[in-house]
Amino acid sequence: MLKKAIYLLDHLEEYIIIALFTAILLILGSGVITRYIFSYTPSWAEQLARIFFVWVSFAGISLAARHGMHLRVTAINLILPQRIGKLVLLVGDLIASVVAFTIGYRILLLTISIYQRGQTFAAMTSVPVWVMYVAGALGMIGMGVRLVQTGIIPTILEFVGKRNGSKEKDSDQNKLGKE
Amino acid sequence: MATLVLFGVLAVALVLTVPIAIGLILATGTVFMIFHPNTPLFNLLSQAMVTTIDSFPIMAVPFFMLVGILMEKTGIALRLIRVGEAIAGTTPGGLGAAAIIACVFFAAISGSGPAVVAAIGAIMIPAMAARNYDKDYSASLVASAATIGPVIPPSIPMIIYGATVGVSVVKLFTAGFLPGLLMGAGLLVVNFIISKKRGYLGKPREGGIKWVLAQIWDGKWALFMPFLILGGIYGGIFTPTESAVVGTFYALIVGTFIYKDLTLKKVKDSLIEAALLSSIVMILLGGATTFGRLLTIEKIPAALASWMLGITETPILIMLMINLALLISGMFIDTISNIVLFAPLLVPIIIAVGYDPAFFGVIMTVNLCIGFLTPPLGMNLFVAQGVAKVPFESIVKQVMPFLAILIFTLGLMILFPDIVMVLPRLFGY
Repeated sequence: MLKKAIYLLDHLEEYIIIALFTAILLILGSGVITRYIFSYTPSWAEQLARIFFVWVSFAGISLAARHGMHLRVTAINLILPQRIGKLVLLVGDLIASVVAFTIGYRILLLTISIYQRGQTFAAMTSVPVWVMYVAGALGMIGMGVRLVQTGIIPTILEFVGKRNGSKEKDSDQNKLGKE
Repeated sequence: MATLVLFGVLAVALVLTVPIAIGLILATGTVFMIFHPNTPLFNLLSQAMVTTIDSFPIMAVPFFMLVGILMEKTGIALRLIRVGEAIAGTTPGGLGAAAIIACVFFAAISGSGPAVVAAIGAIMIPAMAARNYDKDYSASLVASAATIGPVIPPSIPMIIYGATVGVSVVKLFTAGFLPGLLMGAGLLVVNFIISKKRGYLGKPREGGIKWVLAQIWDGKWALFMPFLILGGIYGGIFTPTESAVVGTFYALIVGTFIYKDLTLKKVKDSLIEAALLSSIVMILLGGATTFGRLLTIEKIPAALASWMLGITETPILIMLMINLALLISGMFIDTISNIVLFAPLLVPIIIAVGYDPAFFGVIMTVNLCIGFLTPPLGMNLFVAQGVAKVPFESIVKQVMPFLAILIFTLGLMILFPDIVMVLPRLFGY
């Protein structure tokens, strides 16, 4: 039971992405069709797709941190010895996770104040605006957590000599960079 | 003073390999905390992180990535190559020409660089090796041809440029078309000359004109895709975002029912991959927008403009100076990050000397895509090296003539802006 819960939590971003990305595709696809056949698209459709897109993006931001895919300038690692280069990457990850937690917290504060004002979307008055902002808070905090989990802890363990590096992360780093 | 802190923090963060998006958040956040403490200004940053993504035009990014990924996972690359071979296969360097033509078509579908290297290179590099092409030459050829990907629309860097600067994406998409073809033509010429010199022979013709037409007909489903996506946008039928969605459905249908090689697992993986690649762009937008606003508040673009105008007042010299700086920057920083960092800074200057921001958008995209080929951090070279399994240095050596012709075409576009602007003018943008 607990194992299953941990597994679900560990793949949370992927479930969010698959479900909501598919939903956006269906919403926008049917929007194109109804516009041509009935010259009508419900005004809430675009807004709903955009809320889902914010959620997909922040789920992706968190997941990308897990795979070490976020864009960074690594030119300095070409001139530094490997071990020191790794240390610099660790410092980069540490700063990144602190900033991610901080901005996540700030977005959370913003979400709470929007919640208290009871603001809703103009195109969808039944949906409060905070449901969109909370994705930002969760995504950035998630990014911080993933950085600690897959970047910082494995590297520190490697430095104290307990494990042999995080190979998964290195190979993922090469995959990045479709423009 | 605020300027110094803004750039200082960003520079230190980037050197310490902090992700660029986080560096932007850190730099703008630090300025807010030092110079505007206890004001709600910090909320601008938090707000921008969410509201910049809550945008219909930006939603085109993940879908164009999805279209490209889905088409890679189906048999499209192979069919495009067969078409290229049928057209150019018998001339000296015919297989190389086929690879370039296939990349141009692929560019009109997906608009992504390194992905094209992987898709076309995996098939073409071994095929070229079998016909006695040197592997390092083939790898550098495919890496170079793939730079056309983001220049011929659809183009993700152009969507981001349009959103950052406030230029119509459709206008950018129209303007990018001829420059992309010109780059392709330049590469074909270089390939022809080198192939002739080294004796890379063409294939003996497999059939007459009928056979050629049959090959093109066989690729019809793949070849129709650019007409659907670009025709829909240029014809005013779809917005770019809608055309990306329609393209996704088309790719799903063709992949499932016609090429029959798309499984549910592949679709799921494609969704996740597209979301990941789009997210690493999305996280840049909030910090970059706030960064741009701070630049304006501090009047930095104006200061930079008057400094450059102090050196020269000739628009073309200013354009050349900017391009030189971007080529250098492109050696170290990826295309999208370069755009979100420098477009807000440079666009006011180029407008001040009388250029159209859409023209500059195309020039910037071409320039930064050349950065995919420049060592030490040319992503296309890394991918091509991985596919061809040859030493990095030998690819770098072989890529030089291609790099030279691409920089030459960039120069042509700067000297003759009509190459870029004639189509948008014709379409009335």
